[in-house]
This record gives sequence, structure tokens and C-alpha cells, in this order.
Amino acid sequence: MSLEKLAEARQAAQRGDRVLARKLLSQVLLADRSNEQAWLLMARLAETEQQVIECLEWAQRINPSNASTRNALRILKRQHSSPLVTAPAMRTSTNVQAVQAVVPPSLISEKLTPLTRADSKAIPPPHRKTNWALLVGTAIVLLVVLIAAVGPQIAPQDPMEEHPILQVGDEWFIPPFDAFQVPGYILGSDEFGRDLFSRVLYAVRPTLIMVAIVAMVRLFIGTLIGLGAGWSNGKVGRFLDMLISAALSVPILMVALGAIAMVGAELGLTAFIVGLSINGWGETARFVREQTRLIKGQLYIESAHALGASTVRILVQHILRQVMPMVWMLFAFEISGTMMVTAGLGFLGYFIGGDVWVEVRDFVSRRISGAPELGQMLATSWVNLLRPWPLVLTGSVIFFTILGFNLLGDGLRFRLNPEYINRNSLMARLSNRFSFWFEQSVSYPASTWLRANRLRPVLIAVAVLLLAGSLYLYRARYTSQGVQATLSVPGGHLWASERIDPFGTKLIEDSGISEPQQVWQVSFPAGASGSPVISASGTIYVASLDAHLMAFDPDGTLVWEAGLPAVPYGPLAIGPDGDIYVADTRGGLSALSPDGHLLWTYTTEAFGKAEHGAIVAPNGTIYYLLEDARGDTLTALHPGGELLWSTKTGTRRADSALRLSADASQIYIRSAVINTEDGSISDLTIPTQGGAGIAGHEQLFVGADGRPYLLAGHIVMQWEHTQQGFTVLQSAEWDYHGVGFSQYTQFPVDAVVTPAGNIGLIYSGFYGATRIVWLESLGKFLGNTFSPFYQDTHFVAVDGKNTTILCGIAPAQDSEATMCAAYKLDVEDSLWQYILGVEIDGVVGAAMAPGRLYVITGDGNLTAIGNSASSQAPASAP
Amino acid sequence: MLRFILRRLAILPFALVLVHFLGFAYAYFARPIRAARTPYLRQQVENPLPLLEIYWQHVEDIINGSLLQPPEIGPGIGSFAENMWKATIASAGLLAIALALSIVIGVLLGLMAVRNQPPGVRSWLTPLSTVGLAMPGFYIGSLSILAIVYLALGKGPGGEQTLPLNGFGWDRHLVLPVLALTLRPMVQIAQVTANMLVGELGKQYIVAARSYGHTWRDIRWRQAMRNIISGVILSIASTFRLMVGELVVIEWLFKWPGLGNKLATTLVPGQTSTSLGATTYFLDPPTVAFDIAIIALLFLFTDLLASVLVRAVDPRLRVQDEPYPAGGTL
Repeated sequence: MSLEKLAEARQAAQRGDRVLARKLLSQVLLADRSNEQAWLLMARLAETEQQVIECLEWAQRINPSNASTRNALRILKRQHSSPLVTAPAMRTSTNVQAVQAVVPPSLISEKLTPLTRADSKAIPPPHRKTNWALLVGTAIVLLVVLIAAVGPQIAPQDPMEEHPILQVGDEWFIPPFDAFQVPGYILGSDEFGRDLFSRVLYAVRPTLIMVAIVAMVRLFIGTLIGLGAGWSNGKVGRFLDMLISAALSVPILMVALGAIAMVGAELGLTAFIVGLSINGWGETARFVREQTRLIKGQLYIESAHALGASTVRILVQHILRQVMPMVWMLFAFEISGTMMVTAGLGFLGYFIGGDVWVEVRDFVSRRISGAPELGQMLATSWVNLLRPWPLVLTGSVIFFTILGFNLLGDGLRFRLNPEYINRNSLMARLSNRFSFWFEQSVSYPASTWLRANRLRPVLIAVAVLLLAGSLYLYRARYTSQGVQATLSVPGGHLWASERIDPFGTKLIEDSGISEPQQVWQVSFPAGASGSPVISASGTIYVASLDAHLMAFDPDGTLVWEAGLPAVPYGPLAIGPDGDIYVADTRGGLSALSPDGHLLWTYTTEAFGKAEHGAIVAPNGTIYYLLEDARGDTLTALHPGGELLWSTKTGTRRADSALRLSADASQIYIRSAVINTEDGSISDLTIPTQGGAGIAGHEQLFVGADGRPYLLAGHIVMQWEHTQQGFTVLQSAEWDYHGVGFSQYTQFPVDAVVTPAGNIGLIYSGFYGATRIVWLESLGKFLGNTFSPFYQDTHFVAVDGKNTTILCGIAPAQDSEATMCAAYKLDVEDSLWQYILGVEIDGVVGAAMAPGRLYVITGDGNLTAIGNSASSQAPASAP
Repeated sequence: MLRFILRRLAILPFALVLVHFLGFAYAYFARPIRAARTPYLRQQVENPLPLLEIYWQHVEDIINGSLLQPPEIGPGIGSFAENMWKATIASAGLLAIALALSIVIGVLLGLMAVRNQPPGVRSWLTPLSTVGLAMPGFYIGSLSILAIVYLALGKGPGGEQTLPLNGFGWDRHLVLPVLALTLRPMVQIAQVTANMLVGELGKQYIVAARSYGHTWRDIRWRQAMRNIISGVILSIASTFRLMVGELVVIEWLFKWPGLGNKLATTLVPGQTSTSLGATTYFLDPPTVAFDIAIIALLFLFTDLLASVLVRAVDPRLRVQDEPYPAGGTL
């Protein structure tokens, strides 16, 4: 049938009846689109050059190996100036030859007349106008996005590093530095001496992310309301119209100001999304409403109605599709509009994460700002009227960003206007070429293959899903959870070593104390060696300096007393099987059974003392560090007392309790990492090693969430040991300057991480009060608590609700009192406090059990503090 | 027309009372919420009475004239009403001057932009409007302050006095705030005027007018302008809203004691919080309510004025409000 019609078409073409020939060929091609001969003949009969090209492209798609077709296409495309201009005659001598080269000569019945150059000129050229707005806007937006992406990496300085005074060569500079005044500070500094250039590079990213999210929300709401208002005629339409008018009539800045003031800027992005979206969607809604009304009047919408299409279907399939190309233009305008209001808000003091207060001195709190953000920079840069440069600089960044997005929006609007579309532009040609390539190489083969193989894609999709799911589960099960496993004290003891457990988490479930009272007290005239330990049954073990180890019941009754081979030194430790380990002044270690029998004693020639006692791994291996100015020695012993290994750690007087990693494969001593298998030192270079000011102040530790952390100066980083070495996963960087700490001094003495990931930094100085700063895992400042302890504060423990228990010396009227107290985040005063005595030389050690706090004070007393005083004091002191 | 004006005027008091109550309610609820987040205010700010009761007391104060009495905290402190009046006058004056300048310069620029001779305006209006619309008000303000500071530094001590950088006064103090407030609305009006004129000048009746020998000036002012004036007036009304939005920032920047500054003072948090407690205006419900109500009055009045003017100058719109005469024909 097709062959017959093709022959008829050929005859008609030879007769010169082109209309009939085309009609017959159309029928052939409708029945069989893969007929190459029919397409070639159709090309021969085509009216315009564009049609010739389309026919030849079909022919080439069917038979890609036809070189004649390919050559003809190449020649035609090269000469084809405007693919969409449908002028009646576009033949030149060259393309006639090209067509003749591919179309069989038998088909040629008439001589093709090439167009002369004069004829070509008669065809109006396409409108050519360079879309400068689009070009310049795209360039600026790309630059801004680039800065947002790589800005922090290329910033020459730490954006939060303050310089109260700066020496460059022989010159001293006091902030704020002017632009180009100080080498390394090309744009100058703010009043704290922070590099403005670096701050700007850091600030663009968070601002742009926030603005983009707000713009998307506004776009979504505006499109939805605009569609509804444009489509509905009844009450709903009138209501939505009224809503749009109301949204447009009230200044966005005022609404946002009021809303964010109420919601609270410290809520971060949420507050800004709410504040900027309440009526910010008005412009988009108005635009979409007008477009919807225009499209609604089109005939094809009426046809869709007549065919029974539902309203939702028409809105989604027809109207939304028409509106969608304009979304990018609207998005660009929304971003610039949001940026404009955000700038105003920032200038007035509302920025992401604002409204966080810290007490900087008595009766004065100050709003702090974290990592730089453009709004925040605006809020904090307007300090001195005579120094507007920081404000002008930040304003300039905002201005150029708004300008870029405005130009981009204008350019896109221009580009989407059919009156001005330049179809011969480079972009248009590239776009056409890409569309053709995509259709020919991807879309058409894919749809053909999908039609032919309906089952396979489903199977492949299922396989991919299964693979992805397995990978996810594998990572969740063996990677993440393995690290995040909840840590527990080996053997289920209540207090197994100086820092509760061998991991050093300092985490307790709950202190259980609310109204502290002394439950009982015993005295050791010779004094105690260090912190006690508490077994799973609640027995308290204490070593006295007269070489005795004692066991007490929870009610204070002495259970047994045993002699030690040497004078004990430092805190005790208890193993999973209940054996007690006591280090001594000679560097040795003794093990005693739970009933007080000496099991073994390990002696060594190594120098030093076990200042922080031993820790016992879950497998029973005992580790203890002998600290000495000539070099520290870490020793690992089998549970039976045999030496497993002993190694020099490379540290000197580390003054650090040992921390066992969550998988017990490594031990952290300051910044040194020792492998527990053989005692080798792990080749791990931490990023702050050798850094000015921070070097020597690093501490690797394990959080209660089981993850490894690094405390470096004021910053806490979560890290992991990969093949690349020390890899930082996230860093809790925060504005420690804002709360009154300097960069190179007053570092925290300890740090803990709760199971929820909150970070507690304990600051304690000889002259200053003790302060606990709480941060979220990414550094957001949660708050801080102050305690009156000012000397040798003993950080006892922390619970999962950000409550810390501290003991130490605090001023009391005309003397110094040794006391313990509990502090909770967001509670200004202590939850409770208990004074142990006055002028008693501080705290030697402490341990906690549910509802009990056992404290050994410098005067040789072990005091049990609990809620109830019902328990009787022990009959006699040992 | 008269019916239209009366109808709108009748709505005005109800709208103002509603806005006043909403502003009061907002401050009433927001005050303790914000105070709870601010150290040293947590225990100090509490609402002693329910909203309706406290609002009714405030209404009674308005009726019996208590707000006209100066507070008993010291000499020289005006009454609430006096303070609000002064703020309103300060803002209204600033807005009026800025709006008048925006309209005059904007419309003139728009008219010049469609002229072929001289060609200057035409070529630089588009870049100017693009740049102007991308400039936040505070940025224009800070740029002008920077310029003044460098000018003063350049002149050295004893040099000629430059423009004041902040403060209030119906003199040179106006220059910087008016400049910062005028630029964006001005370019917006110019852009709208130019775009509408371009569309209008392409119409057939303009060709006919030219063929009758009318001059371009005559065509622009007498014919084209008449047809676009309603659109220009509506765009002026919308730029006025933009201007009021910017007013908060500009008055805050230049310490201009107007409504915007007052609103910012009530809403903007300070950098520090001390045991001295909250400032007098910290989310003060009467202040917020009056502030919002006066700003709403400015909006509504501008809207009414624009609607009346549009109907006055464009007969096509006026027809919509006229009742049909007997017999069903106009």
C-alpha cells in the first residue's frame, strides 16, 4: 500500500503536481514514519528550507549511514540563517545542489531555481538586539553565586579573628583599618579589627541561601494564589483578588519587621521565611493572575473544557505550563526583592540568628552575632557616623547582588517577549542544536526503547532502588550507627574511672539530687589519693594515702579495708569484672579483687606518675599514663597484670585523662593518638597542629554520642579518621569574641558533648569565675551559665539535659568555701548548691551514683551528699 | 464622583479604628514575647490586664483627653499626643517634599526619555532606573554620608560647613533624607511614564496629529499625556507605599524624629540589655497603635486622592461610577 502511494507520489512529482505528491507522501508517512524514501521525496517537494531540513533530518534519523543525506544536511544547516522564518522560497544554488545530491535524480522533474542575492534581501532579517541586561545580569549573578560557593575557601583571613592592635613590620595599627591601609586587609576592617574582605566572602553564602529559600516560598505561594485568583470568577476569585490587593498595599518591610520581632530572629531561617512571606508573594500573585486571565480566554482552554478536562487538569496541564517559563524571571525578581527587604531588616538590627544574648559583665548583656551574614554585617557596621565605610561596603555587595538579579529578571523578561526574540543568536542556535541533539539522541531512542521494553525499565528502577537502599542501610548500620553507638561503662559500674568511663564522656543519666544534704561522712586523716570509683552494686572504693584501700556500702558502712603495696596515687579505676586498679607513687599499678584481695602488682622502671589514674577497656585491658617532664609513658596491661605494651607518647606532662575511642581501637592523649593494638602512635595530623596560639591547647575527646571530637582553642570539631587522615566532618565555630573571650587565651579547660550533640565548654581561670558555654553541634550559641567557683574547679559530670555538676572553691563572705552545685542551661541561678566546708583546701575528687554525690575534700573527708539525711552516719572512721 | 468620595470617606474611620486596634493588639501580645527573649526584661514586662480591658482604658484616655496631658516624669517632656503630632508632621513633611520631587523630576525625566532631541536622557534613563531601583534607601543614605564625610575631611578644620549628617530641621537637614527617599520612587515614576508614553506615541492618532501639523511638544503634553496620566497617577500612589516602607529605614539612619523612627524605636532591639530595663517605647501598645494608624491613614488618604484624581482626569473611569440615566442610555 505504502509502496503504491509512494510510486503515485513520485509520478505526481514528475508531472509537476506537487500538491498531490505531498498529500500522498503525507499519507505514506502517517502510516509509516520510518520510510526513508518518502522523507527524501518530501524534502524534494518541501516549500521552505526549514521543511527540507526537517525532512532530511527524519531521513537521517532512519538511516544514519546515508552520507549523502548527512552532507546535504550539513550544507543546508551551515547556510540556514533563520530556522524559524517560514519564507516561501529560500533556495540558493548551493542548497539546491545539496538536495539534488541526496534526492534520487529520478525524482527530479523540474529544475530548481536558485534564489538570487536580491531575492534573499527581500526577506526581512530577524530582529537583532543584544540582550545586554541578560548578559550583564547573568555575569553578576554567576559572580555572586561563585563567591557564595568558594568565598570561605578563598578568604585570606579568619572572618571572626579580632585584632585589638596589629603590628605590621614596625608599624602598629588600631582598628578600624581603612581600605588599603594595612597589608592583608585590602578592604579594611571593622571596629574589632576583623578583615572586611574575608567577612564579605563568608557572608554571601548564608544570605543567598536564605534569600533563595524565601524567594522560593514566595514564588510558590504567589503562583498558587495567582492561579486561583486568575481562574476563579466567583466569591473565591474576589476574595483572592482582595487578598492580593491587601498584600500589595502594605509595605513588606513593616510587616516583616513586626512579624520577625514577634517570632524572634534567633529562630533563624524560620522567622525570616515567615516574616518575609506574609505579604511578599503579592507581586508574583498579581503577575500570575494576569497571565492566567490571558490564557484562560484562549480557544484551546475552551476546547479542553469541551473535551471534559477538569479544572485542576486545565490549570496544571495548560495554564501552569504556560506560566512556568516565566518562573525564572519571577524568581530573579523575587530574589532581588527579598534581598532588598532583608537588607533593610539587617540595617535595623534583625538578622538570622540575632536576638541571642550573652552576659558580658554584671547586669549587662550583649547581643552576639555568629558567623558573618550580610544582614548581620549591616546591623553591626553602623557604629560610627563618621566611619560609614563598612556599611557602604556591605551595602555595595547587596546593591550589586540586587542589580544582578534585577538585570537577570529584566533580561529574561526581554528574552521571553516574542517580539524581541532573536532566533539567530548564539544562544538560540545552541539551544536549537541542543534540542535537536537531545531529541535525536536521547528522547526519541529512549521513548522507542521504552515502548518496546516496558518491563525492563521497571526492573532496572527496582534494582537501582534496592541498591541505593542497601547502600543507605549499610552506611546507616555500619558507618554511622557504629560510631554513634551509645557508650556505657564496661561492667555496668556507676563510676569506673576519673571521667566516669574509659571514653571520658563525663555523662550521667541524672544526678537525682534536688535538695542536697549530707547523708554521711567519713574521714581519712592521711588524705585520699584521688577520685573514688563506684561499682555496679553501689560500693564506693577509696584509696587513702596511708596505703589502704577501703570499700564502703552506699549507706557509709565500711565493708573492708586492705593494705596496698605502695602509696596510692591518683584516681582509682574499676574493671568490667569488678577488680579495682590503684596506681602508686612509684609508677606501678596494683589490682585488687572486689573483696579486697591483692591480685597482682605491676612495677616499672619508667618515670612519672599516673596523675589521672587508669582506664579499663571493655575487654579488660588496663591503660595508664605516667606523666613526666622527660616524656610521658603509656602502658597497657592484660587483666592478669602482664605487660601488653608500653610506649612513649611524645607528650610531656600531658595533664590529661586518657580517652578511649568508641571502638576501643585508639587512645587520645591531648592531640596524640595511640593505637591500642600495639601501642604505636597514629600518624594523624590535626589541622590546628602548629597553629599560632592554639598549638598545645588541642584535646581529642569522645562525645557521649560516641563520635570523636577535637577541642582546638575555643572551637570544637567533629572528625573521623579516614584514609586521608584527619577529616573534619563539622565544626562548631562560634563568636567567642562576642562573649568576651580572646582568641589566644582563656581557652576552655574541658569540653563535653551530650548525646543530643550539644557541646559544653568549661571555662575556668584562676582569677575568673567558672563559666559553661553551650553550643549546638554547628556552633549556634545556646547560652551560658556562670558559677562562682574560681579556683581548681572540679567538673564532676553532665547529664543529657545540659545540667552540669561542679565542685570547687567559691568566695563566701570573708573566706573561701568549698562547695558543689548544679547548673542548667537557661536557668540563671544554680539548681542546687551544697557547702562542704570553709577553708578546707578544695576538692580532691568526686564521683556520682543515682541520687548521690561522693566528694573527697582536701581535709581528708569523704562526704556523701543526697536528698535524704535519713541514713545514719557510719559508726566510726577507719 | 461625589458618591464615590463619600463612600470612601465613610469607610475611612472604621478602617482606622480597626488598624488602631490591630496595632495595639500586636504590641500587647508581642511585648511579653520579646521581653521573654531579652535579658533583664523577662520579669519586668507583663500584661497586667486582658487586652480588651486595657484597650478600653486606652480609648477612655483618648476620649477624656488624658493623652494630651504631659507625663509627670520631668519638665520638657511633651504629652503623648504632642509627641505623636510632632512625629506625624516631621514624617508628613519629609514625605511630601520627597514625593513632590519624585513626581516632578520623575515625570519630566519620563517625558524627556521619549524625545529624540536631545538624545542624552533617552540613552541613560534605562541604566539610571536599573541602578536606582537596585539601591536600598539606607545604601543611598550611607553613600551620601560617606561623600559628606570625605568632603569635610578634604576641607579640613575651619572649612565651610557641610550638610548635617543627622538630626531634624526644615532646612539643610532635609537634604540627605530627601535625597535618600526620592531616588527610587523618582526613577520608578520616570520609567513608568516613559514606557507608557512610548506605547502611546506609537498609536495611530499620534500619526494623525503629526499629519495635521501639531508639534511633538503639543502632542506629548496635550494628547498623549492626557491618556496616560491616570496610569502615572496610580504608579505615583504605588511609589508612595514604597516610600513609606523606606521611611522607617531612612528616619532611623538620619535620626529624623518621625513616625518611621518611632516605629523602629519600638520594634528594633538594642545591642545591649542592662538592668535598667526596657526603654519607654519598647513595644508600647499606644505608640505602636497610633503609629500604625497614622501610616494607614496616609495610605488610605493617598489611595483616595489617587482614585479621585484618576477619575477626574480620565472620563473613561468616571463613567463606571455614574448611575445609568433613565431609559438605559448614557
